[in-house]
Amino acid sequence: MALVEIRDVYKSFQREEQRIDVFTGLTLDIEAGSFTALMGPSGSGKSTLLNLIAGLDKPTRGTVRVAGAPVSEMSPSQLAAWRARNIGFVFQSFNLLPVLTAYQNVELPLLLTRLSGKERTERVKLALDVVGLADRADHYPRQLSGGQEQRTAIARAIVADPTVMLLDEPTGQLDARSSQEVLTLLQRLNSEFSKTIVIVTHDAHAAERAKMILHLEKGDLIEKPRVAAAAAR
Amino acid sequence: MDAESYLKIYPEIVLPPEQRDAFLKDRTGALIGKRLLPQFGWKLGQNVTLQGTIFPGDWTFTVDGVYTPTDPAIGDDVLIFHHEYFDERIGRAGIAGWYIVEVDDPAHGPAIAKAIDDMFRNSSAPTKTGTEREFQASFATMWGNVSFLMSTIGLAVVFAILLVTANAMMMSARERTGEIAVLKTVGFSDRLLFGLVMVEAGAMALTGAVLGLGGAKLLYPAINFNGMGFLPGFAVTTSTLVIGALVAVGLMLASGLVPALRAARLPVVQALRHVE
Repeated sequence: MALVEIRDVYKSFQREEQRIDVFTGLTLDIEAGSFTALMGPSGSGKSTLLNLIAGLDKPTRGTVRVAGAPVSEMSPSQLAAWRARNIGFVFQSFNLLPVLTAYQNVELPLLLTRLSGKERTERVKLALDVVGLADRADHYPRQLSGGQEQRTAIARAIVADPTVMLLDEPTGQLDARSSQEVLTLLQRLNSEFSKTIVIVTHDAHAAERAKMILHLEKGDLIEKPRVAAAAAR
Repeated sequence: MDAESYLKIYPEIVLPPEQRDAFLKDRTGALIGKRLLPQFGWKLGQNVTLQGTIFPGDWTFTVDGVYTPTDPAIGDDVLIFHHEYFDERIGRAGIAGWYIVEVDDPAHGPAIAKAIDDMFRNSSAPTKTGTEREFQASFATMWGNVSFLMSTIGLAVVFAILLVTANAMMMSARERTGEIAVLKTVGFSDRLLFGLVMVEAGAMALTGAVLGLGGAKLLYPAINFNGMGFLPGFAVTTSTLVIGALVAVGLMLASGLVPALRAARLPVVQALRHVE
């Protein structure tokens, strides 16, 4: 059984008088431990798909299940609690809270758990260590480079040991070197820690780092999933 | 005032017996409230000269005694002197501004007041007899409807604070749409975010209340405010503090409710578009 099961999903938006159909019967499986890149032009539904998997949005019709949980059928409060345990989300523009240090930003998801202060500290230190920012724990976002901010955001995404990591254009605002660092980190999280990762990207070089590339166009998978070249090598 | 009867009727005016005796024997003597000593740098036994306004001229008194009131309603910034001295200078012997009558039982008050007023009804100086509280209140009303004025100013201030606080909370919530979206994505529930925004509004209101009420509670005794003598015994009472605290709670609810509901109901996807 796949970790993420998307079955016959329809999703439409109403924009003024016009109805926009993003997905019309999308079916897709994402396996546990996979590293999947979603590619496609703007408006193809990549981010919408990510939002559906994260339970941030609901399909108009069809079902989304993650690790057996019926995400598309949960109430908002159930979804919030489920997301805290199962989803690590990374945004293109990092979205760290500016008034909190890197440590405090990473600790945020753990505040929703019943972990003790000591356990939280251990987890946050481990997460910052994994992303190579143990020495930047007390820095505020404005004191970090773009790459460091994104790595902090990744630490925030992994700190609660989620079922799936979802990343929306994680290298979109980074220079080439920082992008490579972030992608290398994601590959490491996937290979060493068996994290299931789904990234949305426009960047073909970034997608090449994934094990699987899916192309979306106008809400449809236009070609069969293929194994990325780098992973195949 | 008639010294002997006045001091008898007001045991709240406390001063050493020897000072009391000195005052009773000294026709130009004066008793002063303890606040006037540091205020004007006067000393016991000193001759002080005041310039009259309503009754013009230099009025010289000897400070024979310094009293300490046991009831804050008796002002501690009053200079008391003999009516005879006043009569001599003004040349209106026997004319009094008011008489104070002590009754044996408050229940007899209305009947006694009526009897006094009836007695002087057809005289050249008809009286209007009332309780001491009414008499003091009539002084305050000489300024106009002070109570109404103060209430109006208070309400205007509360309304202005409400607008400022509500605006600050709305702007704060709007500016942090992205942060709220991120928190929701991380797993913060709508209810928790509602609570966090309300706590923030509460913290603002509480800080304001502590500074305002605490400041007033500490400041008024420190500066000995008495409304230029018209509000003797003015104090920030427990009931004032309770009203202030209730106003703060009201401000918290009024300023925090809309932003808190907005944060709780914010659709994550829409908010994330705002962020990205």
